[in-house]
Amino acid sequence: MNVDLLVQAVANGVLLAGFYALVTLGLNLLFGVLEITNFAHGDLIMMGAYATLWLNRLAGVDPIASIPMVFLILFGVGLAVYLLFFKPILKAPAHNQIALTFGLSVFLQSLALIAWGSDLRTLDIPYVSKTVSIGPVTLGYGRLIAFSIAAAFTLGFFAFLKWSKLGYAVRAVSQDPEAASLLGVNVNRIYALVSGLAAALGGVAGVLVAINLYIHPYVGVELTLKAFSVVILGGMGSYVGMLVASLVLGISESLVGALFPQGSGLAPGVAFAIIVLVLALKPEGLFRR
Amino acid sequence: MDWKPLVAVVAILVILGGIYYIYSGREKGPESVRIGIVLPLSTASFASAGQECYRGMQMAVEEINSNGGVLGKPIELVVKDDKGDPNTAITVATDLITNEQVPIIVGFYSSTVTYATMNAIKQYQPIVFVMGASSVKVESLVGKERWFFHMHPWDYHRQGTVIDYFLHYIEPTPQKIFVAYEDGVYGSTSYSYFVNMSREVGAPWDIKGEPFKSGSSDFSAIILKAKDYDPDVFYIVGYPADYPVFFRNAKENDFNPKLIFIVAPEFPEYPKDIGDYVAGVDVWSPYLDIPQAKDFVAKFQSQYGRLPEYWAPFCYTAIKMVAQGIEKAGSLDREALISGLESVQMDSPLGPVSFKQTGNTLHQVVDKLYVVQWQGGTVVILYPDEFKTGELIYPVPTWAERGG
Repeated sequence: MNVDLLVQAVANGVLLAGFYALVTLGLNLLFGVLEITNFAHGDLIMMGAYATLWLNRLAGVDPIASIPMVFLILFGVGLAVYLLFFKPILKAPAHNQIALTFGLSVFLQSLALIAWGSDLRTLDIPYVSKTVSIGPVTLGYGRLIAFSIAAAFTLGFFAFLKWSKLGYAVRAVSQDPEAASLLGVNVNRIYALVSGLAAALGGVAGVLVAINLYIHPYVGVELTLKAFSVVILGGMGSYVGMLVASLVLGISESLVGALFPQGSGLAPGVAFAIIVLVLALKPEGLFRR
Repeated sequence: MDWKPLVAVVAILVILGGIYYIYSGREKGPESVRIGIVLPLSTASFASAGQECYRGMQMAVEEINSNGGVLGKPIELVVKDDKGDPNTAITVATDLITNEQVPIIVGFYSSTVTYATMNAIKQYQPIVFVMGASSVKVESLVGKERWFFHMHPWDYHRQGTVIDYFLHYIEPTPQKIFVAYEDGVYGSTSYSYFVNMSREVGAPWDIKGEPFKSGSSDFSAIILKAKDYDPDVFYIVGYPADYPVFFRNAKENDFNPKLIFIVAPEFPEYPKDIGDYVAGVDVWSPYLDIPQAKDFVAKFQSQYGRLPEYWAPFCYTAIKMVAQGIEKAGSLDREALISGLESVQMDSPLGPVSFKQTGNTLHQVVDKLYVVQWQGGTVVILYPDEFKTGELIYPVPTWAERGG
């Protein structure tokens, strides 16, 4: 393989990593604060993709312009999920929480299947299909948009955590809910906010799914797996770890797929081999929270 | 005492009882001819085809029943969802045979699920009419059984058509073909058939193959590998969900083979912006110039507001064939029904159909395939000659020539 293609493979891996980071952000946030492992996270992304589709089809809203609306819709969904499902099981054993989120995942998939059927849907957005060449590398607008939005939301979220008063409260609850409560932080409200935010970030990832992939009730299944790979590799709850793990997975999948014989079939396996290796050497993941 | 758990249990039992009452009432009409249906109606990659198939079946049942039914009784479908899972399929098929005692089971989609189910239920020798399952592993298991009827072409029919088309209809004949195939039974078997049959006919092309995991969110790596190989034809054997991602990744990586060729390119929400000029092999087309096909497409469009995918006319035709078979049999007696089905001959949206002996199958319906190409947002039929509506565009314009 020539050098140009190699550079292209790395560039593809970096763009893919940006997408993985946004897909993972909500899952990581929820675990970091509520300590709930949400197996329905990919299904919230799926709902974001459907929200984008219907806003486009029924109201003619451009997918990128629909981001604030999808964010708000999914924030509402996340809030409802918290009040109905997460709040009652906050103190429950981890396996009960996992069982519940598995159930929620199946419920959301079935709901989508009943509401919108199993037809595969795609959005024809002409500007998404355009490309730009930078030296030997060709980049699709769709992937560039996805990367930019992912970077903006990830950095924006970090800024929110670091510099806003509410962000301080979220971090405080994440570190020690009881101490935060004694300092006057309404822990329940922070939990509700975080659940809403986690779903809303999933919704934004759903917009990117809608413009770059396809829309289907089960499109979130693979994304849940991918998000878990990133979270486990980076260290549950660690945001720096999440970014590093996204890059490791994105670039390794791209390079293995492009360089090795039968590599495209191997790539997902290699990603999991890296996870197993890292966990064997560093059981808490690359970065401890 | 905390009554909540008891109340919850009673409430669940009442709801389940209600559901059972409603559904059992529906399924066991005494004055009907009951046909067992096993389809994947609620699973990731298979549900779309399963539901499209079921839509076709329902259209056929409505038509048959509004014309007096069969043997003077309405047809009733006893529908079971196999969820695309072999164990579930075995359970529901066994239930249809032993408890529901339906005279025939129609359905099945994936080769893996069908193989496992046929292996498990062959001891009962039920009459089954399988809609999908193109793997010859299924054919070698039950193809010669008198109780086995099959709609979909087998692997060798499909790959034979593809090779025939590449060899005799593309000028100049492709010299390098890159095959990207999904890594399940369907993709792997298709790939090995393509390689072996190419060798058997002395095809001049070099082949490079690469498996992929269906449903992935990025195929850039395989695209780069194909770009490095620089093939004349990039042939993808995957599922509809894979194709839009492949096309987008091909454009993003400025990959310009002379032709992108896929399996079953006519699905309802085909991505026309990035999928133009893509050609493919299909078992049916809504653009066929056959009166029954046109009627079916018009009815389907008025009911569902879009063109049908091929599973709809397949399954519509299957129910019509079963109905005619029962009429010819004059009863639901097993031997009479097999003979009745064997004598079925009718015009359908697929053209004239009957159960023919082909390869190692006693009762095969479809063995003819079509090659089509998307041109300017519509489908042009290229092959076979008698259904041709246009010429292949080859080599296709590069992405840059299409406007970048």
